This record gives sequence, C-alpha cells and structure tokens, in this order.
Amino acid sequence: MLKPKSNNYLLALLLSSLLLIPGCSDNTTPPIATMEAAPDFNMALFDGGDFQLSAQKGKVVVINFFASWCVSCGKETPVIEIISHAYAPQKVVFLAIAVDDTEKKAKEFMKKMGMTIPAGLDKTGKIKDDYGIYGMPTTFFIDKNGKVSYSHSGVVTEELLRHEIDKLL
Amino acid sequence: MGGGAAVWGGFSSFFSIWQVCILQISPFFIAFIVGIYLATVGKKADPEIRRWLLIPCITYGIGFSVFYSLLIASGLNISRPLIHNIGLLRVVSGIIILFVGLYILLVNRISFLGKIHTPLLLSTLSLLIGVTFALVYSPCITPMLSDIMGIASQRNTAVEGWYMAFWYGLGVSIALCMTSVALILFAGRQEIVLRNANLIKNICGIILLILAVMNITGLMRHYKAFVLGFVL
Repeated sequence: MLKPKSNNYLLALLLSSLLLIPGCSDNTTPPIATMEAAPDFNMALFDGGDFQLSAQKGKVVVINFFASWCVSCGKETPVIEIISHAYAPQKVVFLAIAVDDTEKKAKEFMKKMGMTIPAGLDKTGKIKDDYGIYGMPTTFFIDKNGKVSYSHSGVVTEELLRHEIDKLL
Repeated sequence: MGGGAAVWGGFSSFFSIWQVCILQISPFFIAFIVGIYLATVGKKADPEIRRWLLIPCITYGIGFSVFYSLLIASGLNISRPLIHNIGLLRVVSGIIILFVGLYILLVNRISFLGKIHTPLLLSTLSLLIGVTFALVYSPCITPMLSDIMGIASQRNTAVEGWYMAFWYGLGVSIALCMTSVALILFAGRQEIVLRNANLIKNICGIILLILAVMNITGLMRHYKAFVLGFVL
C-alpha cells in the first residue's frame, strides 16, 4: 500500500499539473496569421539553383511542407501535380519543402510519388519554425504581395487548391 | 465532433497505419516505463509496483496532451511562442530526456537516487517526459486531426480546437500507456526478464540517452527519415 502521505503528494502533483492547462481566452492569433507577410527564405533546390521567396512578388506561391516518412503526404502528391501543371501559365509557383528529413530520403520519396514541382530541404528547420509547422503535410497559399492568404494542415484536395488559388489570381 | 470522438480518434490512430508516425515516440516511452518498472522490481510487491506505474502513466498523458494540444491550437496566443521556438524547445527537451535516461541508468548504483525513487518522483519524471515527447513529436495529420487543426487555427474557434486536440492527444497517450503496461504485465515477470532486469533497465536508459542526443544534435531527422521511412 502507498502511504497516505505519498498519496497526498501524488494528488498534489496531479492537481498542479492541471495548471499547465492554459486559461480559456478569446484573445487568439494564429502562428502565421492570414494576410501576414510570409517569412522570407532562401533555399537550395534539389534540381539545382535556389528559391528566394521575396523574388516571387507578383506571383501566387503555394508552399507544401512534407516529409518522406509522413504517412499522408504521398496521398496529396497527384493532386498537387495536376494543379501545378494546370496553373503553370498563370503565374502560380509551387514549391515543396521537405522538413525533418534527409535529402536522400526526400528525393527518393519524390521520385516514388512522381513529384516534379521544385523542391528542397529545410536543412536547419528554420523555415519550418518561421512558418509554425507542427504536423505534416501543411500547405501555405501566398498572394502576389507576399502575404499568407491561407494555410491548410492535412492532405489538400483538388477543390481546395483550385479554390484558394483562384481567390488570389 | 465531441471530446469522446476525439479520444477515440487518437486512440484508434495508434493501432493503425498512423502508428508509423507515432514510432517517433512510442519505443522511447516503452523504454522509459519499462526502465522505471525494472528499477523498482525486487524493492516492492507486485501490486504496489503496478500502482507505481499507473500514476506515471496518468501524469505522462496529462503532460503530453496539454503540450500537444497547445502546439496543435495555433490560434491561441500561448501557442505562438511555443510553435516558433520548437527547434530550441526540442534541444531543451533533449537535455531533460538526457537526465531521465541517466537516472534510469544510475538509480540502482547511486544510493541517493535509490532513496528518492518514489512514486512522486516517477510521476514528476513522467510528466516531464510527456511534455518533452509532445515537443519532439511531429505528427502526421490524420483526417480527424486535420479537422481539429482547422478549427484550432481560427481565432474564434481556437479554444474549441485546443479542447478537441487535448482529447485527441489523450487518446494517443492512453493507447501508448495501455500497450506499455500490457507489455510489462505480460513480460515483466518472465524469468528471463527478471534474470536480466539490470541489463534491460540499462538498455532502456541508453535508448533514452540516444533519443536525447538525437534531439540535442538535430540527428532526430535521420531517425525519422530512415527508421520511420523503412517501416513505411
């Protein structure tokens, strides 16, 4: 049997741990609030060259964060490929960023899934942190002025991609 | 979607293909709980040891679910600094895990550690492990989690989303704790385990040290890419 004193300690610990739960508040802000300037970054692309976000002003940019080990990431690849080709003539730029991953594995994943959009690796995790990414996949839609219009956590559908891009064109 | 559905969503994800992503933390939690169990074997009667494990499981679940839900609920003000500093927080988590791993390795060798080996200490360590595991974890977004994150990212529904994310995280924790305790009940009294209890405990401590080093140095991405990728 646990001693009563120990039980009191445990009860105190459990109750005090509840203090970790934050107070409810309506004063809330998303990590990258919509219509907030998208954090600029420069990233080397797997196919050579680099990608500078600030150099894309005047274009709609769709950034897809993925990982080779992510169970659901491969499911959205065909849709992203279809839409990236469909919108290519309309100043819409697609970029895939591998996070929490290695270059070798990310490239293998892209080859396996038939992903052809420009892609690179967030080597230091800084881009992921700047964009406030916790889970994969996550997709950001950035307007022609470089502001985040919308972000979606989870697998994107063709309808969602068309809807969000059309809003920005 | 209610809290019960969210708990079930998290719980069931553990026993599905999504377990591949949960492998980021599940083997390390099993190492932790088995390590503290084997550090206690021989010192206490069986029923008491089970109670010793039950409360750490509860505090782990609370620590994990609170921080997991805060990281999911991106619409909350309190979440913003957590999410944007998660790289640094993972290093801090690695340091905490390092101390927990060392504790498991040394508890039977240093008499002072043996004296403070109490349910209170184990529950505190479990709470810390829960918090750190939420920070080092990168969830794959299931369809239900996608819905929750959608709600949790909006200013006017962030609290509701946080609430559901908490229950979802608790569902994952319950499944993980049930699996770990079942493993201990099944294998914990086997002759071969008891004969090699100290060795297994040390291996558990070393597994936690490996997790700690991977998070401090950034090598965790290699674990995710190669181990999880291999399973997938």
